[in-house]
Amino acid sequence: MNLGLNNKIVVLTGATGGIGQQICLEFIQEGAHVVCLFRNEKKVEDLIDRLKVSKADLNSVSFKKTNLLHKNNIREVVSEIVKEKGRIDVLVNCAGNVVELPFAMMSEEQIDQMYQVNLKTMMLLTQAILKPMFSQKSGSIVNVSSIAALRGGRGITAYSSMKAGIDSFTRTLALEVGRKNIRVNAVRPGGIKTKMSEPLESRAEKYIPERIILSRFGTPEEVSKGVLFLASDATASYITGTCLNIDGGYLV
Amino acid sequence: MEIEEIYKNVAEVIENSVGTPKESIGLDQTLFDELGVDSIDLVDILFELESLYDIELKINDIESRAKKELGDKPYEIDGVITNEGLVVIRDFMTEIDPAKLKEGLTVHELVQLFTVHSLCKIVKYRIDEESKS
Repeated sequence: MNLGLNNKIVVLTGATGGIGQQICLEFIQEGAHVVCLFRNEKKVEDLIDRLKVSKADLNSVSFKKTNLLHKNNIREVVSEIVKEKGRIDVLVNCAGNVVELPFAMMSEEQIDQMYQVNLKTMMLLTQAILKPMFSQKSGSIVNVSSIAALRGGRGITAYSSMKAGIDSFTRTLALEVGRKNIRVNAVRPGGIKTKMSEPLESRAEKYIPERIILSRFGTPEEVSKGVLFLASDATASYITGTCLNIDGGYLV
Repeated sequence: MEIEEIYKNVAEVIENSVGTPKESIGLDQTLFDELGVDSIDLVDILFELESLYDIELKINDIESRAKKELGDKPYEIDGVITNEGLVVIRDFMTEIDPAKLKEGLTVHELVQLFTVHSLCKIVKYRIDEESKS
């Protein structure tokens, strides 16, 4: 199926993570240009290595160091992208982080950090990118949420709350901007084989058969397919405000 | 830059956002009730005007201007514009019927009274402010 993403300009956060790397690669393979907003240079090198191994066209990706907690920095970067590329067709908010800790033991700083990394950065960047999207009268936003938004677990109370916030952000923003031809959706990955999920994977092994209908963890590829599907106007032009579970049936 | 010149661009931007032909957009028409602009259209319109004039624009620029003029006196208390605040607003927003700028008016209700002319004035105010800095 042609996703119609050729020459589309995609802004991606969290591109250096396990799922983000795959999303970046697949957009490039579909002919899009991906602008990765990053914080950590070392991780960018890892991403470039990964893209090289996959023989991705490195001319189709660019990198901008961005402090996603700094509103003015975000505005500058977004306006640079618009100046250089002329438009922004797709935003994928994939940056996020999980710290497992009993909620009763979390410090105020840890709660703040959880909110900032998982929710506030997404809101600030989305706000800045809505400006060119309003102007274009088109755009597609895909947020990476988690099954934790609906079914939490011990030690991830704050993380689950932020992910539930992303779901709500997705639905309500979709309501606000739909008339301007901007779609907003989310994916909810379940247990996905990445570095971030390694500790969970080893602990959860014995529960997998009974809790996940498909009896296995998912792969970053299985998540990125969902992201590209929702991002594309060729496949998801009538889909907005939805959160797509990519969880092997965990939430059933 | 004169209001008349700004008005031409504002009318065009409103046409692009809500579809009302620019020829039928009058300076005295209210944005919300008469032109059917809603809050999201307004964001869209402000974004376009920001790009057009390379300024930062907020609908509460009127509020900022009034606060600046009032100095230490409060502009609003719990969302209700103070009498001192109303005096400043009446002076600046002469295009709005003074009878509508009555005691007890809230910040939210004031925005609902904005006309195309009010929007042009906000743009002009911001252009002038930014040229000073």
